[in-house]
Amino acid sequence: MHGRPREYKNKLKADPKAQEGYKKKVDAIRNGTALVLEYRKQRKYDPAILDASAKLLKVVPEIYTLWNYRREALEPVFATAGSGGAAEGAAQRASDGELALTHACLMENPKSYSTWHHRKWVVAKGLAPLERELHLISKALDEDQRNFHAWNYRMFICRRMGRSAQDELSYGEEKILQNFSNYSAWHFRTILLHQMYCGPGGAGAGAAAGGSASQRTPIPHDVLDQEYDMVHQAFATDARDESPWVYYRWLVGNTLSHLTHHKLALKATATATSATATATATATATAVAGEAVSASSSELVDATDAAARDAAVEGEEGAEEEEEEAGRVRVAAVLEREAARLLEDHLAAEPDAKWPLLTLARLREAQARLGLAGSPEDCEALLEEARSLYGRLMVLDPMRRGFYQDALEGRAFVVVSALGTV
Amino acid sequence: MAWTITPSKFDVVVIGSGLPECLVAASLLKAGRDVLIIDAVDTYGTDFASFTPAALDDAIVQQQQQLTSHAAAVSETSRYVPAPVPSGEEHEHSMPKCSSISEPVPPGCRLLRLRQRALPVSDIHAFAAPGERGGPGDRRGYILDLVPKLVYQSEPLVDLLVHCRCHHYLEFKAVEGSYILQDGGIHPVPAGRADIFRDRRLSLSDKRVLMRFIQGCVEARGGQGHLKDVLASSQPLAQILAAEGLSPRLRQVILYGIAMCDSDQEPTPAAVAADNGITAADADAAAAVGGVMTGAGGGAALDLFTTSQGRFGHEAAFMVPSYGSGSVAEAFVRLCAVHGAVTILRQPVQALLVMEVKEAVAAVAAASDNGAGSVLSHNNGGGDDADRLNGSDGGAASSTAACSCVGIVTAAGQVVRCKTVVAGTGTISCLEDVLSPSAPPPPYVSRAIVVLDGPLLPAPHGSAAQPQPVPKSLLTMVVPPHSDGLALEGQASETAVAAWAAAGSTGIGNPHPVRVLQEGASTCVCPAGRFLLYLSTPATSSSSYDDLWNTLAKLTDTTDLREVRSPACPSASATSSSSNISTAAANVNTSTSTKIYTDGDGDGDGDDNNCAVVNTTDKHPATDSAATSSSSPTPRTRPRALRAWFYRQPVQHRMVPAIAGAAAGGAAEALAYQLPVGVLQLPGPDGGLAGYSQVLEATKAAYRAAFPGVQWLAEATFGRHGAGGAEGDEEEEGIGGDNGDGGPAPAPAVEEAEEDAAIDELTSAVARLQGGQGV
Repeated sequence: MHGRPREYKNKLKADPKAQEGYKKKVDAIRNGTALVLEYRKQRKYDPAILDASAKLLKVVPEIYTLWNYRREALEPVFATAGSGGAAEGAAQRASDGELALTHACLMENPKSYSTWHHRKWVVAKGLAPLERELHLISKALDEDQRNFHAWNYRMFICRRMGRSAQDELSYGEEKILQNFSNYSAWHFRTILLHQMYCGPGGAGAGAAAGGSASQRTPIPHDVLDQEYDMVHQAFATDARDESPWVYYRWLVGNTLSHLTHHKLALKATATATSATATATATATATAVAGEAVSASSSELVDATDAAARDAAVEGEEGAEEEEEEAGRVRVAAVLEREAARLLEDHLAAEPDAKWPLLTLARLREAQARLGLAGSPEDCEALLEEARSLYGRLMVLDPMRRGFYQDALEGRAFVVVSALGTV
Repeated sequence: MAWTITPSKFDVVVIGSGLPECLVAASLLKAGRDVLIIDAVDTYGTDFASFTPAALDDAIVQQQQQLTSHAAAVSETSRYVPAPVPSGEEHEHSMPKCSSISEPVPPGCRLLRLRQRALPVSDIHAFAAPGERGGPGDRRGYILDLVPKLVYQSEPLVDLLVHCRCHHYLEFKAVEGSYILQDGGIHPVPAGRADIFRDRRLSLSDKRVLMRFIQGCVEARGGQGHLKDVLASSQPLAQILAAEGLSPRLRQVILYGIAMCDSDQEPTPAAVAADNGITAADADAAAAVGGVMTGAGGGAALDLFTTSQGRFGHEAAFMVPSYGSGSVAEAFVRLCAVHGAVTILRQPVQALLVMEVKEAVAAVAAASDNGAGSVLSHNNGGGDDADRLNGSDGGAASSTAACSCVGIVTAAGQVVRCKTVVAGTGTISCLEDVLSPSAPPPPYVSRAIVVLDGPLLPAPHGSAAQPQPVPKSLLTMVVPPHSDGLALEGQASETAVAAWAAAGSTGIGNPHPVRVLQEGASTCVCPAGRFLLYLSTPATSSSSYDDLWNTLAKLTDTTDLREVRSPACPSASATSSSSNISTAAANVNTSTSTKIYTDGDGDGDGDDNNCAVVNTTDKHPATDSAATSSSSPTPRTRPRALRAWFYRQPVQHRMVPAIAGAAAGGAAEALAYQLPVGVLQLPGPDGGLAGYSQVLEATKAAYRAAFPGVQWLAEATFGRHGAGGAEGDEEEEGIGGDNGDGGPAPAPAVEEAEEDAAIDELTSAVARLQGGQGV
């Protein structure tokens, strides 16, 4: 599936028979496409033409105009779904037909954007059995566990099914255990962890999974610690594989987001509390207006709210600092622990390994720039250590010399708190 | 017998249908020879055969009767007595009676008798739980292998199967897991990247060291990396591993779980002292299965393992054929039949026809004039020959060396002439008076076949990805030497723990690794819900039972097993060994069950006269209570052993790859016998559980020596369409395991044809539409 060169062009050069076949194929595609587009101009959507377009797509699924043509043709059929009777049957048949067609195309070419897109469109019509989709997608991921189209489609299906993030997390974990050189599976994991701990169900008021790290509730430290453990297993198994290191960077970002979250969240609480209180009061007042108890109820709410607000404002002055300090200590401890792990577990055995060195440099730089290492002198020492690490990397990995040079000069934006990355 | 084999003259007669015999037969057929394959029983496989429980039990009885009668015959008349047919039902392994020779022995010829044997193994002890014997499953429920084998996915035999198109006759299942008994538990062998990553038993540094070593092996294969020199050296592999910084536990993983060493690679000083002081048996046993593995041998073994991993999908390095390992030999028999071999079953060979060398030269000329068999005269009576053969050992041995084999005599008494007789070592060992007086006894492995009522490993905990997990059915496990045994799971009850402690928590005490193979219904060798367990280890003690009982008792619940004794075996050795075993079994029973099983030897012996074949169980008062105790609500953490057969099998010396050549190993083996000219001795089974390479190599070496310049099976060409391709079909094929992807992947031609069809369909659809547009 991966790392195999395509032999097609070489073969074409050498083999006149293959050239002839190729020419025939190109002609068939050209003629077919021209024909379908001709009918499209006339807004003709006969079954025979749909059939021809299907045959064309089986040969070459990447001509998205053809898929568009099919969607145009079928949109009216699907629009009748739900009306019952014969029309209902036609919509179901169309759905099944498109699923079968995309399935056939994907078997040939499992990485065709247009085909996956078309299948999503069909499934979104609501007539496809989702369990079967999930089964198919699991099979596709057994075939090629790094097919990101399939991963994306899986997320789409799971959303539609309302499958729990926990279930999907264990599915993804199994895939990672099978082979951790899999960016897609790790990426899937980042999304699921955010869904589980930072979604609307979490403490973050309305922070959607799409928001930046600083706006979300951070993933709890104990969850992150388990992830750190897992990823260190991967480092020990094969430190040269990049994907766990990239995931690790995401983990560190989430640890750091505890810092910014504290600041922002505390500020936000103050504003949000008052805003919510006002809104509630207004709503309640409106709702109960005209009723006998309205006045007293309203007053009660106002009174309670005002008291709460006062208490919050008074308490926050002291609590905010204490809490923030505790949060900083915790984050600082995690970073220090991780730096020690990299040194003891990995660099002690392989002192010149690129990824542990780079990751250690980033950790040191983050510690220094965020002032997490205690005194300013300590921070300066850590920054110096980071610089020397970048310098060493420039020697060890000359191909990326410029990249490390930028980092050394502090231009790598190693701490981008808004994105939660180091 | 009324019928005779026609023609009665062949280039080659192959006695028995074991794997080596069939490989040679197929090679000779492809080289244009006439070949007769003749087997004493109804099924193929000979030393490599698979049995049903009924056939195995009957064969055991038969063997014991033979031993008895043979001993009697030797002592009384010193004349050959044909094997008696057991009075019981006939089955696929029963042998027909030998008739006296129907034709006179030709002039200048004499007979070299071939003893019949029911089983190529010895020291058999059968056990069964009450009510487990005699069911319909005995006849068709199980397939039991005499030589169970794990097949490496990329070993030469697999390529040979594909080359000969024999893979069409077979179905393989990938082995689902490879385990090692360590730290008191059964753990997966961390053999690949994914296993190492997920194994939380390994520390981070363990992981790094292990991966570094495995990567070093891969690099060494390409002639690079830090291990390339040591992995080509004769330094012991264990030392190399230690130098690489692998802990003892990781060394066990590599030595026994990946390199598949079958003997102790790191003997403790105490064990060494014991070897030197007391017995050479241990050293012999170790040598039988390879002895100390060298760096070069280890490099080859690790290479074979890693290239096998995932060759046919999954991560497994091994696979196992469905319907028993006997099906591999059977596939080659079929190949022989397709290429024109005459195959006769249920026809034992009772003797070889041999001729003094000086007369043989003349006879060959005569035989070429007349049809074989027509030159027979009345000169020399068979009895004289037999007398001469049995007369003096030394004389017979020297005379066999100076004679030449010119044919065989079937059980029906027919003489079949041939230039060459091919037979496995097991068959050869039944030839009378060919064993060199100075020949050392062959090395043995002890094996056990066990029927279980559940899998060795429970199903994993359910997960979202797999809501109803299924326990693994097809798996292999190794118990490293001097194992500490198995601790119970945390949830085990106190009584179970007590029973455990009583059963001997001091460890298994195995001097050499014990290999384990579990098969289930997935390979069609036993009914659903039942499992077969194969154990094997180099034979070191006086009995197969002693070599393996401890391991079996640790892995399974053996409370219900009772020895099955044959009534018709009054021979001294059999009686004494069986009484020892009863005592041992009773000891174990006492300790693992609250009820004391009181069956001593006396009781069992008293019953013997009444039992037709064997059953000690129905008559014992203790039986029922024992069964009850085992079905009490005590949580069972181990599967129950329902039946067990222990036996010893003579094996070939294992050749150490790249140190001793294949030919050298063959020569050493051949020295044990002084065979007539024209008899080709082929290797018997080897002692290892993993791989047929040794058998294949030794067979090929013997073939090369006997037929120099004649093409070997792998060099023959086979047609594109199955094994039945015409002889002259020269078409070469691109399929094979050599392109890295491996496996019988669909040929590119097929894919191209599919695409062409799609394009044609498109073209015609477009043409139709264009036509419509035109109108």
